Parts: sequence; C-alpha cells; structure tokens
Amino acid sequence: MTTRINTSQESSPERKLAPDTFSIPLGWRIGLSALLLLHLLAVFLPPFQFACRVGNGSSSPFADGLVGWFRPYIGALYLDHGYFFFAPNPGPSHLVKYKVEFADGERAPIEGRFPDLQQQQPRLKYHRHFMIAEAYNNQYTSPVAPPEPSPPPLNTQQTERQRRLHADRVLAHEAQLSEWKFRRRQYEELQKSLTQHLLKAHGGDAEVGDKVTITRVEHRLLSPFEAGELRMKPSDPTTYVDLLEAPPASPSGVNR
Amino acid sequence: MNTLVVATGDWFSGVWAAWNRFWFQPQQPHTLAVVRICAGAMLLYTHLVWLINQQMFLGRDSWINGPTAELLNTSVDGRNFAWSYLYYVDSPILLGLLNLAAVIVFLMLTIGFYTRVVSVLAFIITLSYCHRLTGSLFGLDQVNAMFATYLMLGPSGAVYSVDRWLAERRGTATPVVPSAGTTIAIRLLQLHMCVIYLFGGIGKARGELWWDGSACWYAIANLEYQSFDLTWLVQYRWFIALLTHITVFWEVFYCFLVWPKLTRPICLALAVGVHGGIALFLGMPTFGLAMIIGNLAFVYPETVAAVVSLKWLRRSPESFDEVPVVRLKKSGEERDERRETRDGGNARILAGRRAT
Repeated sequence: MTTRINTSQESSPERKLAPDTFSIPLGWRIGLSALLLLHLLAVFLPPFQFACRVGNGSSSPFADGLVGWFRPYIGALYLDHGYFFFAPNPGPSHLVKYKVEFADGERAPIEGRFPDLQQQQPRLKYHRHFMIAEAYNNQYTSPVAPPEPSPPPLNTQQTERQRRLHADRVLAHEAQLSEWKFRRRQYEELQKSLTQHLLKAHGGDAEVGDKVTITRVEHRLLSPFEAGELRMKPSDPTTYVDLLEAPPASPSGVNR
Repeated sequence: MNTLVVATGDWFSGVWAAWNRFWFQPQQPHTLAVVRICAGAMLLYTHLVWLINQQMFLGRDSWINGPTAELLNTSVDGRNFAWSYLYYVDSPILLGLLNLAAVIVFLMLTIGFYTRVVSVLAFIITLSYCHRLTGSLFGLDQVNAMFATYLMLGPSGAVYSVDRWLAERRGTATPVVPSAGTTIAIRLLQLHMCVIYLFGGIGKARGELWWDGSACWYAIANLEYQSFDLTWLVQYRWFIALLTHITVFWEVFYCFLVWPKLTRPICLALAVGVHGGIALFLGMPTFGLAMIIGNLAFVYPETVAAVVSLKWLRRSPESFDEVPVVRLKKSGEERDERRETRDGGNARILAGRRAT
C-alpha cells in the first residue's frame, strides 16, 4: 500500500527514525557501544599523551598508564600520532647532505643533498625524501651516554634519606642508559641503511672500499625582518647549518 | 529522594536514547560512497608512487630497509605491534607482484567493485605499507589509514559503484536502504577528524608564534614546503597574523562547531580554505586534499546525492516536497518507510535535503 507524506516537517534523514526502529538488537548495540568506546579511546590517547609531554621531559602518569594498556591496538592500527602539525611552532627544516667517494680513484666523488625538488618528482616522491631527512634528524641520539649521577663525597656522613636519594638516582640512570643505548642503536641502523642505499644508488661497493658520508643539515627560517628589510631569500646560503654528530668537547676534553 | 532517583533515571535514559540515535540510527550510504571514491583514489595515487619507486622505498637496499623499519617500530622494551608482511619480502619480483596487487585493490575500491571484500584488503594493505615505510610517512598516510579503517565498516559500495551498476544491469539490485553500518563508519570518521583538529589546535595553542601572529609567515617562508613563493606577503603582516589566528581558533573549536547545523557550513568552508591553501601553497596537495575528503564525512547524504545527481540544477524545489512511501510489515509492527528508487534512493534523499 502506497501513501504520500509531506517530508517538509521532518528533520534530516539522520534523525528522523524513532529510537525503537533500530535494526540492530539491543544486545548487539550494547556490545558495539563498548567496542566503539574502546576504539575512540585508542584514537584519543596517543595525541593526548603527546600533548601531556612538556619541555622538562615529564609527562602525565595517567596518560602513560592508559596508553600502556592500549599499546598493542594503537601500534597495530597505526594510531600513534600526536597530530601536532606545524606545532607548537613551525620549525626549521632538516636535510641530509651526502658525499660518495670511490676507492678506485677514477671516479670523482659525488656530492648531493636531499630532498631535492629538481631530482624528485612528483611532489609526493619529493615529500617522502623530505620526511626521511626529517626522520633521520628526529632519530638523532648523541654518541655520548647520559652522565652518571655523582656519588656523595666519601667523607660525608650519609643520612638514610641521602642514601635512598642516591639509590634512586642510580636506578633512574640505569633506565636512561638502557633507553639511550636502544635509541643510539636505532639511529646508527638508520644511518647505515641510508648510506647503503646511497652507495648502491651511485654504483658504489662497500667491499672495495667505496664509502658514503652523510651530514644532517638544518635550514633555518627567515624572520619577517630578514625577508622584508634585508631582502634575504629563503635559499640564502647562510641559512643552512651543518649539524654536528657529537657535541663539542669541553675545554677539559670531556663531553658533557 | 524518589524525585532524584526518577530524574537520574530519566537522564540516563535520555543519554542512552541519544547515544543510540547517534551511533545506530540507519543512514543513507551516499556520503560514505563519495568518501570511498575520493579516498580510494588517494590511496591509489599514493601506491602508484610506491610502485614506480619500488626499489627506492621497499627494496632490499631501500632508503630504510626492512630490518631497520622493524627496529624503528620497536619500543625500548622490545615489543613491536606494527606488523607488516612487507618486512619479510626481499625478492624484487614478489615485491612487484604485491605492489601491483595493492594497486588493483585500491582501483577496485575506488570504482566500487567487490567493495566489501576489497575494503578489508585495502585496510590490511594500507596498514602494512604504513608500518613498513616508517620514516617516509607524514599526515597524508595517517589520514589514508583512517579512511581505510572506517571504509571497511560500512556499505560504501551500496551506491555510486560498479557493484550497484552490475546489480542493476542484472536486475538483482535491491533498494538502497539506510544502514547502521553506514552511520557507525561515518560517525567514527567524524569523531576521528575532531580528535585530529582538537590536538592540532591544542598543539598550536602551546606555541608562542601562533599567538604573536607570525606562525603562518614561518610556514610560507619554509623553502622545503613552498609550492609558490609567497614571501612577498611579508608586506602584509596583519593579513598573515589574521590567517594565523583564524587557524588556531578554527582548529581548537572545530570539534564543537562542526556539529550544529548553523555553524557546520562555516567550519567546513574554513576547512576547504585552510587545506586548499596547504594543497596549493605548502607543497602538500595530497595531504590537503585528503583532509578535505575527511571533512566530506560531515556533509549530509542528501546534499551529496543532490550534488552528484545535479538534480538541484534540473528540478524545481517544489518537486522535493513529497515523495512516495510504502507501508512495510516488520517484526509484527507497521511502520512507514519511503520507497526507494532505482536511482539509488536519490528521490528520498533529496526530499530529506529539502526538509533540512
């Protein structure tokens, strides 16, 4: 039987059916609701944890604890993002400068830098190279291990509180050291992978002594004054700075 | 005391009813279908770039080789949940075949051929590539993965698809009915977009350059991002500051202002403006477009149907006022439901558009 209704009285189709016309049974709706809540929590938590990290390296134990529970799901569904696009401030770009040297002495060394819009087209390919250079810089871990906590002077009569404080610092240092070793290994493996790729791409062979050197380069941004008053261009050579692999040694010869 | 108990009960009952309406009230698939076409095309393009540069990004001597990618995805405690079948593929021939298969799957998703099957495959493939290609990724890949995850939850091939076209040719096409699966997929997409903007806004609100109005200057002055040189805008610093402030406020309040019908068009128009700017001027056309596609999730299905069918150009508004309905018997109760048409339910959808 066909009738006609005037739809102009209705709201949008999203809202027009009465609640008792749901096609999914109540039990299913309760189960699905629980799953949806858990998924939304997994979407919300990684950027929340990221936002909770502050300059002094601390973060919210609440956020850390919850993310720990969801880690497998977050990792598997590629949800571990901060969404801090151009935030907290738009920063400098990072590039990678390379030099390929051949042991045979016949071929001239090849030097270059990526990303390079002239060589990498289409734009998405260029952007992939840009992200590799940024990832290499983000992964950078100093070759100098975190310093050990200074022990209290030997001639000092230690109180129980001082002993416990020192023991806590030693434990924290061990955790830092373990993390530093892991991060440093990740950085070195990434460096190795990049150099191997460059060597292969330029017809080199590590076994005959050909070698690649790569350097992280920071390209700083021009201030409005530099661009407006000093008429500098973003490609000005002085805006490119080579970054050091190790921090400069202190006058006593010890890295700190 | 009784009054308090009754009021609390009423409140919970109201929340549960609203929750059910939000998540499970069946919705027409037109918006989800258009998201499928646009997101599928983006996934396809992304993978064509991987396919063409296979050895450079996925081969044994790629920029970031398989074992290194696996190590980068591992946490300090040695756990890695970012699984990918590509970690274990070395052979260029096998890699080529897998890449080709991925491109075919994304092509099928885009045109809506065996949509339910390929949407699940597209999800698995997208995540595997994201995990394997760690270090080469950016916002585009995060949004691509979001699309692939939610497209497999709803009937995204119900309209505007080869599946639908074939069913109509064979005479086996069933009416396009609203479904809860569509609602769940669209709602998840909408909420995920809100989370992205909320934290994008919070992140910016923590930086001083977003408050002194110079952040947009530093974005356009970045040579590595530039598509066009816009540094001449330094002469109009008030304009750059205005863009900066609009961006922060829009991102922070997006998750509140995108829901009411009155403010939704403003939010979406700003999204097109901001992401269109990123696409045109900041060298990320793919990311800019992907975010605009994400915002499509907030467009009502009836609007999508009207735009796609161009009936808003061809028909007079009066004809939308009334549409035929059929009386259905289901589970012993009678309810009215408007008759679906062979054009994918556009008549019904258009009526809804008129009503809103």
